Parts: sequence; C-alpha cells; structure tokens
Amino acid sequence: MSLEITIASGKGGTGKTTVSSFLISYLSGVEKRVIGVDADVEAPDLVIALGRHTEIHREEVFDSEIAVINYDRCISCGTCASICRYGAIDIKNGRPVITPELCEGCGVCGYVCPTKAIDIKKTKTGDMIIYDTKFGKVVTGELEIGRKHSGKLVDMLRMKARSIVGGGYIVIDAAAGIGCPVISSIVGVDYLVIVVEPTPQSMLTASKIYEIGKIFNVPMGLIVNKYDLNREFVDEIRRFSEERKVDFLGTVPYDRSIVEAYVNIRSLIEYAPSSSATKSLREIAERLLSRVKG
Amino acid sequence: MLIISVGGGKGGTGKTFIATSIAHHLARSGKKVLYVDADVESPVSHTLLGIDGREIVEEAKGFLPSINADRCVGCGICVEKCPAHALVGIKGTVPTLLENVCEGCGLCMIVCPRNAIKDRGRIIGRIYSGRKGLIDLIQGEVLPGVKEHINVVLRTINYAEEKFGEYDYVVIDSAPGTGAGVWLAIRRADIVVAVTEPTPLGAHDLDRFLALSKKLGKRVVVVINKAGMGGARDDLIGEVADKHGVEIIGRIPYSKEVLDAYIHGNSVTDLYPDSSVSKELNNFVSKLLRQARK
Amino acid sequence: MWLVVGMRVAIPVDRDMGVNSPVAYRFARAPYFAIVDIDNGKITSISVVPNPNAMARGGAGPAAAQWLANQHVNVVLTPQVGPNAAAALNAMGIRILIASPGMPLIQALRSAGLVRE
Repeated sequence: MSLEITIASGKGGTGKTTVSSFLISYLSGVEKRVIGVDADVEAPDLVIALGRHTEIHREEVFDSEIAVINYDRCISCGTCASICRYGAIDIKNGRPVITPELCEGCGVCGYVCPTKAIDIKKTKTGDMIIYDTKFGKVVTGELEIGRKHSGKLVDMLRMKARSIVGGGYIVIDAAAGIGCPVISSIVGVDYLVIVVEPTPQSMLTASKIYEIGKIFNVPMGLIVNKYDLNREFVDEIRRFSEERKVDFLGTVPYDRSIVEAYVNIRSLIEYAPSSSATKSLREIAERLLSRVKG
Repeated sequence: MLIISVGGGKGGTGKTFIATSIAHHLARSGKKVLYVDADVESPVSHTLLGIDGREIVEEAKGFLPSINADRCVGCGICVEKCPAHALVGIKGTVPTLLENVCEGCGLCMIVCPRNAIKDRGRIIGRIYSGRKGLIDLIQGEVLPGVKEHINVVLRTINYAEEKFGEYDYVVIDSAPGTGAGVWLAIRRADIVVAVTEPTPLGAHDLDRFLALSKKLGKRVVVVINKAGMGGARDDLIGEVADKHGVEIIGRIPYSKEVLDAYIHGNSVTDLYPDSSVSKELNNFVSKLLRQARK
Repeated sequence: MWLVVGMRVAIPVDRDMGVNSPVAYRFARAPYFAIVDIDNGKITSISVVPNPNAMARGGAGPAAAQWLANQHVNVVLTPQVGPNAAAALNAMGIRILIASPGMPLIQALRSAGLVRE
C-alpha cells in the first residue's frame, strides 16, 4: 500500500532532483519507509543527489520491439514504408530500410508485408539498476541512447519499486518535458508536485504538466524554486495555483549549498542542515506530507 | 549552409539561451538564419528570440480510430491485436476506444475484416513559424497527454528541412535528454554544441550526450554555461570532455544580465553589449564558426 | 448493499488460499485473480487463477479488464483501480466495488454485501 509522489516540472533544470532527493532524505529521517524512482531515464541523476550510493543490482531490460527486414524475402514493394505511421521506414536505393531509433515495434509493417519478410524482434530498452543509499533504495533506469520506449522503462521501474517497498512512500523523480516517460510517471500516482522557477518560460511548460495531472485526476501541489531570482513573479505563480486549486506548497531560495552538496557527494540535508534552502524544503516537506496523508 | 545543433543532456543548462545567442550573433553579421525549435515538449525559443506573433503553419496529426457500428460485427480481432490494449469490448459488441491509451499505430484499421475502422485523426501537435529580422523560426509543440511526441519532432524537422537551402545557417535547438528526439535533432548537424553546467549532474548527463553524438559520428564542441555559479566544478566537465576527446570552447559566466534578458525575452548581447557575458558569447560563437569550417 | 442473482465477481488476490485468499492492493498486475460465482448471496464456485497480465509493462489495466470481461465477470471488487482500467471496465459495463486490501476475500465479499453466509 505505498503512496506514490511524483516530482515533475515540464521545463528542465528547475530543481526536480533537488526536491525529490530532499523528500527522500526527509522521509527516511522521520522513520518512514521510502524508495526513490529515477524516472529521468535519458539523464538519470537522482542517486548523485543522495550522496554516497552503491549499485546492488543491475539487469538489462529487453522490452523494446523493433521490426527487422529479412532481405532474402523482401521484394521491395514498399508497402511497409507507406504504412508506417512513425516515419521509421524509408526507401533507400530502391529497398526499404528501417530506422530502429524511430521504430515503435507495433508490428503493422509485418502484418501488411506480402512476403512476410518482417520480423518483430526484442531489443534492449535499457538497464534497470537498484542502488543503496543512506536513505533507502533507489530504482534507476538508464535508457539506451537514442531510444524510444522510455515510458515502458518507467512503468517497469515503478513496478519494481512497489514490489520492493510494499507500504511506505515511493518518490518518483520525473524526466523533463511532457512526453511519454512523464505521463508514465504521473498516471495513477497519489500526488503530483510541480516544481517551477520564477520565469515565464518555466510556467509555460508547468501549465502543461498541470493539464496532464488534470487528465489523470491526480491531486497537485506547486513549489517555486530559486524564487529570489525573480521575486515579482512569485505572486503571479501563487495566483496560478489558487485559480486551479493546486496546493501552493512553498518557495525555496537559490542556495549554493545545493550544488556544493552534490559536489561533496552528500545529500543536502547532511551537508547543510541549516541552510536557507534546507529550512524551506523542510517546511515544504511537512506541508506536503500532511496534504498527502489527509 | 551550415547546420548547428545544440544539445547537452541535462535540462536547464541553457541550451535555448546558447542556441538563440548563436542565432543572434549570426543575424547581427548579416546572415540569414533558420532557427528550428525541436524541443517540442517545452518550446520556449520564441520568448528569447523576441518573437511575439507566431503563426501555425501545420497541425501535426496522429491516427485515432473510429469504429463504424453498422459495419462492426463484434469479432474482437482489433481488441486482440491492438499492441497498446487501447480497445476493449466483449465479443459481439462494438469495442470501445480508450483514447488516452492509443498510440496511433493504425493496426486496428488494417486488421478489421469488415473495414469498419477508419482514421478520424487527432491533432498531436502544432508547427509554428515566426520571424525577427534575419532570423526565421520553425517551432514544434506537442499537445499535453500525447504519447507520440517523437512524431512531432520528426514532423517539425522534416518541415524545416525543406527550407534549409534558403539559409546561410540553421540552428537546431534540441530537447534535453539522450533519446530519439535528441537523436533526430542532431543527426543532420555539421557540428554539435553540447551545453553543460559545471556540476556533477551536468557532467553526468554530458557524458551520455557525448556518447550519443559519437554514435552519430558528429563533431562536437562543449560550452560551459553558468560558469562560476555557486559550487562550480569546471574540472568535472574537463574530465568528461577529455574522455571523449572534445574541446571546451566557451565558458559563459552566470550573471544577473543573462537572467534579466531571459526573463524579459531579450538577447543579452543587445541589452548588455559591453558585459563580460556578451564578450564571452561573442568569443564562443567565433570559435564555434572557425571549428565548424575546418 | 444489494444482492444480484447470477453474479460473477473478480477479486485481485496476493495468494491462492481459496476463500481466504488475501485481497491484493494492486489490480491490473495482481499476481492472481479470484473468480467467484455468487447466486442469491451464496458462493456457488470459486477459482483462483494466475493473472496473465501480472508482468505486463504497459496497457496492463485495459488488458486485465478485457481478460476478465472475456470470462464473463460482471463485478470487480478491488481496493483500487487505475484510470485506464476503470475506463475499460466501465466501457464494458463491469461494476467496480471497493474492498479493503489484506483481508480474506470472503470477508471483503461480506462487507460489500455480496455474500451473506
């Protein structure tokens, strides 16, 4: 019966990983069972933010399906190229060539091929790695570079986390953006935290995250990180939250301790327990917990 | 005509800031520039290019089935074959489509023995165009909740590619990460610019991005943005750059001027032409162009 | 509380212990499903079957709903169900009732008013 909390933002670099890592360290401190999920599978950073970590398990995930043409049977009719809805098949030098990076593995090409010259083969999606940290385990995904199918990898990570923690909290550090892996990080969670910075660019994309949260009926809260970089804008952000019934969880000042902590391979809560950012984050975590439990 | 792609792996390092700075520099020296914003999940380039009035030039469409109840006999083949499990229904009844689950592959339409399924289509994204002086913008944007976001990247780049020949330079702003969308953004580049920040997270993601660029056989240069930020560790970037045999050709300082220009949607080199930031940017772009022509 | 003649109820369970199987927290990927036939408030048959969707990556919710529908289940008794699974069940007219996880399924059936023995 775990409670899943996702930290997303839309625009990159706003501080998702800072918030998720803090939340994990905080939750483990108040004696809650917690596990982290690094759903940013194209650029996973969560364990770095948690300080010292050791890899305890790694497995290859073969969940991607890719179409492969058997040129012995292929008659170059070009039907596959015309039917593929993902732009993954082109005609080059008179014969069809599949671009694996774009292939969804849906099997439509194989179905229409008149000589059954296309097979759907399983290929590597990426790796699933479990780390041990001072604050609990983290399930991380590393997508094969240039791949699609990040959403499937995120689903797997969440499943694994649920099977490990069985009760307690799961904190999911989502990827930047609003695509498949982010959707997979938001579907069915108990609470979505949107982290923004006080810029119009950040709010442009944050409002799309809000739309996704609404589609999937997830309760939401918002944090303004590095708020002191543009104080005037914070009120507008507060209004944005109020209008949409999104909890305004708080603000965090820009604090060099955050980066220094990473550099010293320490979590923020260990490295700078009384810095201004730590204080704000602690208040936010308390507020968040009462919202999630209540 | 030279194609410059800008990426970096980690979100929020300043890809768009660097890419727009490159475009501004080129335009100032009288060159015609096509700026392609391929960060379809979070496109904000128009705000930094000072473009207010964008026009929608294309609506990217995805496949969405509609079942003709008069022709359907409830055989259940589409339900069975759908790779996403987006069609449900008891045999003998007309199946129901779960729109949120559909990935637009079109297999149902092909397998239906009664031709009862057709494509009613749905808009999955938009392509915008805009102009400011000598810079033309082509920008893709994916709608929230859509799973086939890579299709929108592909459509955006294909749309722009038809016009490449009309320009002296093409600057492609990619999404964060190292997945298929980024792969698409850098695959036609003559030179790739990797934007990073001097932190452990920046270094970690830069490593993956450089591996992707190497896989595509691209020439890459690195630029460190937010140099001198609190806790900065340039040496970590140096290590990654050495590992991949690439040069760091710019160190853009973290400064109030940049933030100010960013928030107000202006070019920092226009607003603060004598600042050290502007000098660094100009040096960086000059070096970039020299490298690109080698 | 209502009783319906000729009801087939599916309950996600963690282990096969017959009528004492513990109700699972998860729906789409629960390790087993108990399929229970009820007639006039009495259990007439029960089978606990491994869930073929337990290891499914994506689309598990609708897949599980379809699998249950194929077996003529008309009620699902579960602690929670994801949005896609719920949409699928609703589309096929399968009723969703809420149970508490962990308790033996016979107790969950009684609490839901489906069984009175």
